Amino acid sequence: MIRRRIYLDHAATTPLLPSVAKVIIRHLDFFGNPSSKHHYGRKAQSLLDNARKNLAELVNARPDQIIFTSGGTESNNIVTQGYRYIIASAIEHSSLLHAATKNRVVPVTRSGQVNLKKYLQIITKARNQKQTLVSIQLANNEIGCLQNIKSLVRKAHQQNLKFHTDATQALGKVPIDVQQLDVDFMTLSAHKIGAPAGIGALYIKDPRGFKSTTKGGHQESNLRPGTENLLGAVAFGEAAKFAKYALRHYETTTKKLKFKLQKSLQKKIPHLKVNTPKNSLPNILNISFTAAEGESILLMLDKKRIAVSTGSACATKEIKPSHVLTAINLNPELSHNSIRFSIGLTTTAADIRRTVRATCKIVRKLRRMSTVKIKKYYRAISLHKILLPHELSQKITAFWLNKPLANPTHKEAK
Amino acid sequence: MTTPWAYSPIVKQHFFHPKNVLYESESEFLHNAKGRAGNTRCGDEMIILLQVENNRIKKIKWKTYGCASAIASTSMLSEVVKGMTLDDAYKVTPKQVAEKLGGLPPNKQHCSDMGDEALRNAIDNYRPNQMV
Repeated sequence: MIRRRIYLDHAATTPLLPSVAKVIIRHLDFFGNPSSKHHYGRKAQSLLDNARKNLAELVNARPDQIIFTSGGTESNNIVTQGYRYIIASAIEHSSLLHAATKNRVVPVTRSGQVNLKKYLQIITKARNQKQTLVSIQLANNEIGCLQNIKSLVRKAHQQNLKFHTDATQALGKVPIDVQQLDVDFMTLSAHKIGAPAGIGALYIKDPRGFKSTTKGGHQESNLRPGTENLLGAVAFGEAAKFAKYALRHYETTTKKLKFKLQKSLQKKIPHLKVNTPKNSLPNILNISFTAAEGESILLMLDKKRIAVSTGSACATKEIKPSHVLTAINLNPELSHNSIRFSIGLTTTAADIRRTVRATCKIVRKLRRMSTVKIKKYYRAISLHKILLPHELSQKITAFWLNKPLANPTHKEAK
Repeated sequence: MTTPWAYSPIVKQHFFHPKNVLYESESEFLHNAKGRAGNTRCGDEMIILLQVENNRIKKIKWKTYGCASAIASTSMLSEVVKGMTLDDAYKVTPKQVAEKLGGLPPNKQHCSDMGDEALRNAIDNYRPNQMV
């Protein structure tokens, strides 16, 4: 019996929503340049306007504040190219981190939150600098942590600095209100909410006051010249319409599934560390499994028809592990052993149960093969489980498991 | 049809069905040579244990913490050197192991290097009269 595939990598990209697929098929035959004045052009323009309106409604913006781009990366680049200095957090997407100015990277805490003290120091130094932009993501793609953007924006505005947020992961998973957040720019991406890749958007609070560095035609209010990706925009608009209703699903069902996944893994597999903090997206769970390498877990899960992601360097072309896990001060071993599970609208409780069973078997097998000894470590904490009340022993276990494991056979295990 | 893996079918075979793995603890396998290479901080570590008799590798067992390449490389290396004399085993190169595996991605070549290092380490640490 061939089992159906389980996709738990929705943070990487999402399957096309059925309603989005229908809209794309319906408009496949249509052609028209929105800049043309005849019937075809007018129809194309109205489709574009409708898509823009749907997306603007999702984030409580005006339609004229939304411009379509080719994706989140282009949106990030359009904003950052307009500024000489970029202040960014240490866990930003690489398209922003590469643009960040040296010495203006804000460190984060172990739970992925921006270090407020350092943030205030850096933005105070940059006070009134018109060429400086602050960019902090709303939610992180690897560990799912959420930032308190409203407060960070307020502090940046007090120093007379513009604020950009990358909301690529957060869109459709948590409510976003650009008026409430008061951000100056926001990056949005379609393929994380059930629309195809190759289309994104940029929210600009004050479109008239923004000068794009890209030269060309007058499309998108002169802010992003080039003939619009009409089919992509229509698909994005449709996905945005659906996302308003899907928010409820994420708040309830997805959160429960993530909780179930976390608790089941914690119950069945000893010596794991949950890297996702409590204040996080409802669909992302990042866990490190001691003594079992990330790429090996990923490939073995893939053989069992379960797709996940890893922060291990081995799974990418990089030499170092994920910069996000390094920034939250996770020791390198645990970074190499991390797996990201990202749940989607199509994930079921049965998928979670099957994933837990498969992960347990795989981690057990890899640990038996591993050079890393965890038996001594386990023996050291097992006694208190017998002798002490359950709640107290749980606290001690949590304390041990959260300690950086430089070497599990280390003297601390004694 | 999906794109084939970056790894060769032989690497896949040795990764999913590795040969000569020591699943139990080291103390449960009688050995008179032990070698280690790599570092868990870098993401790959290997231990090779040899049972040598009359200067020939009678049995070989290994443990590996690492990616698919690391596991497959150690598995293939263990199959290659089993039954060899210590001198012949010492001459086995990482390139030979990588070739037997059908090649490794460029960023994974170090896995075959590490296996070779662990084996040579084990041979250097060989104690003829000390079976542990």
